[in-house]
Amino acid sequence: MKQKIIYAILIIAIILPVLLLSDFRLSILSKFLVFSIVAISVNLLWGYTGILSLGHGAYFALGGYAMAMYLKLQSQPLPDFMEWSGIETLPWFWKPFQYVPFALVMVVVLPVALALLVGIPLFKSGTKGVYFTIISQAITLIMSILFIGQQGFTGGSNGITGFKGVLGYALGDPTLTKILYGLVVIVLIGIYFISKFMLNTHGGTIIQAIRDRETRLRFLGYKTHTFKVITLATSAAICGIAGALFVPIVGIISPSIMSVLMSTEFVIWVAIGGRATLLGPIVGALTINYAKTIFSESLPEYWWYFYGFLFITATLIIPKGIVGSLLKKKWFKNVLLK
Amino acid sequence: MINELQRLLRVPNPIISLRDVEVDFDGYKALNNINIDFPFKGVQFVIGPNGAGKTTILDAICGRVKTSKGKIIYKGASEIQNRNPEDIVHFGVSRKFQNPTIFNTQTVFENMKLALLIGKSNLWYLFNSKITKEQQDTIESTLLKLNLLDVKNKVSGALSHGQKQWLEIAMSIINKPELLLVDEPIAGMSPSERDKTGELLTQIGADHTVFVVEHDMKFVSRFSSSVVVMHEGRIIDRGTFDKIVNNERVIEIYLGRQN
Ligand SMILES: Nc1ncnc2c1ncn2[C@@H]1O[C@H](COP(=O)(O)OP(=O)(O)OP(=O)(O)O)[C@@H](O)[C@H]1O
Ligand SMILES: [Mg+2]
Repeated sequence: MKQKIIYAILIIAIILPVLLLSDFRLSILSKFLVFSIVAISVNLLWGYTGILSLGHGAYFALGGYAMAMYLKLQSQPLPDFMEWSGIETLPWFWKPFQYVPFALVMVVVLPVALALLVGIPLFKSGTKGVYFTIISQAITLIMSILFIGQQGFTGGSNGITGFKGVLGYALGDPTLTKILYGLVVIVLIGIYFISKFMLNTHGGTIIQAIRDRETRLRFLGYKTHTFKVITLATSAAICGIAGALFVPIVGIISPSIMSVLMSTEFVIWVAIGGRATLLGPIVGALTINYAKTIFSESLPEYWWYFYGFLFITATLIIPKGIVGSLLKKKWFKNVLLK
Repeated sequence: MINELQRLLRVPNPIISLRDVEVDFDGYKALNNINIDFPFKGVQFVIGPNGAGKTTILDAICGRVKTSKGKIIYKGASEIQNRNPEDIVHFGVSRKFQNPTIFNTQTVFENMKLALLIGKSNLWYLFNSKITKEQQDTIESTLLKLNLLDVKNKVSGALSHGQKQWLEIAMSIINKPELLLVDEPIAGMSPSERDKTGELLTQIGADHTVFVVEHDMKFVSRFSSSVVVMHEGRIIDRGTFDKIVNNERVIEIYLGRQN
């Protein structure tokens, strides 16, 4: 019974924005829901496995660029920025991106490939804690420099933009806005339930045990580095999917998403929402991004001060985050968990 | 005398043999030319003053420290020195650390499940959230052996110190290792917990080889059949408790420290 009520409320909460919000606002909500997916991917790695990455912007960007390359080729046979750089024929690695299936596969394959490239040598050699974090930061930095430098192939610091449309609709078409909103909601719910299921399996218990006491697990016989690589790759795949959804909603992908600041924000959303809780990342991403929108519409110059203040007070007052603190309250547990 | 010791350190058909094993910590030899065999089954105690190298000998066997020289031979067939700990476990070597090393936020049962599941060869269990009736029974019978069945649903961080130690022992034996390495199990235990632990180790020794590092002489005298004495990275004697306490070197080492 209670389950049914919760689902009913959820469905209403999903439909209401479509009826009440302007297309502009609905599109902003979609973007924030995409950020919730990013936060889920960061939480999987940091909250549940104890590995802090400050470089998730790189995985997000790879998913985003794969989608942007497809959309760009739908708009122009030879992207405008290539012409500007004197490139006259489409480079070989761009060509297959004109096909949807290839582009969609690459949305997942590219971030996973980077995750394996980073994860296998680092985890196998036992790189831990802050060392992994710093290296993850360096990797997103290198990626952004690479993308800015290769203007002819990547659009440089402007990134890839100027898409004609998606699915036959012009960008900004109200119908498209609603379709994309629906798509993001479905993907978010799907990823939420898949990660919920995975975390309840033995595999999920094992990765949480890595967070709590990796040594014991190794001396029980687990190859913990393999589990860490798999978790990183899964997290990267989810983050790449978020990146791909981001592009048609916002209409651009650029290397700015690979800034260290952006990747740090991903982590802050999780910290404030509630690390190692299922709902925390979604609550955190929505709360912070709406706070940011309100601020930047009224007091843009104070946002970063407020942000810093919010982060420090939040970690001091509610170290477990919004959802983590609520979970300690009986009424909240009763509402949520039967 | 030296030859006599060499003879004592050998056993026929050993489960594990250390040959000229050396562990070097930046020039300091924590283990210096260690040669010793362990028989299948039985409890082997190791004593020695602080810094003798007792923990290091366990660490070398289970892969926690690297050896700089020598061989560690498992069942006369496999060399296991300098392998990864997670690989050595699968030969049948299990380690109980000095301080309770368990998953504090999980229940006793969950801890046991984590210990048991690695024994599976089929990886599909990773996507499963249930265990079989048989696995449930294995966990419960092991918990019963260690007096932990009543607290199986308790969060393990909330257990008493002694119970945490037993839980770790339970986790270490659930997959039936052939060699169990135990470091100072009774430190911080009450007298009754000590007795229980001693009986347990003896019981485990009936089916497994147990290698126990212990400081407490009263405990060693009660529960040991064979004792190895270490000093400054070397083994200086092996024998029954009554025999080794009458060895002049041993007396000298222990009395020398007290002066
Ligand atoms: N990781 C390390 N790096 C450097 N030196 C070490 C290291 N571990 C141990 N040692 C040194 O090696 C020697 C043997 O240490 P070990 O821990 O094996 O002694 P022990 O016999 O277990 O002593 P205790 O009874 O105090 O536990 C000591 O002098 C110790 O300081
Ligand atoms: Mg020691």
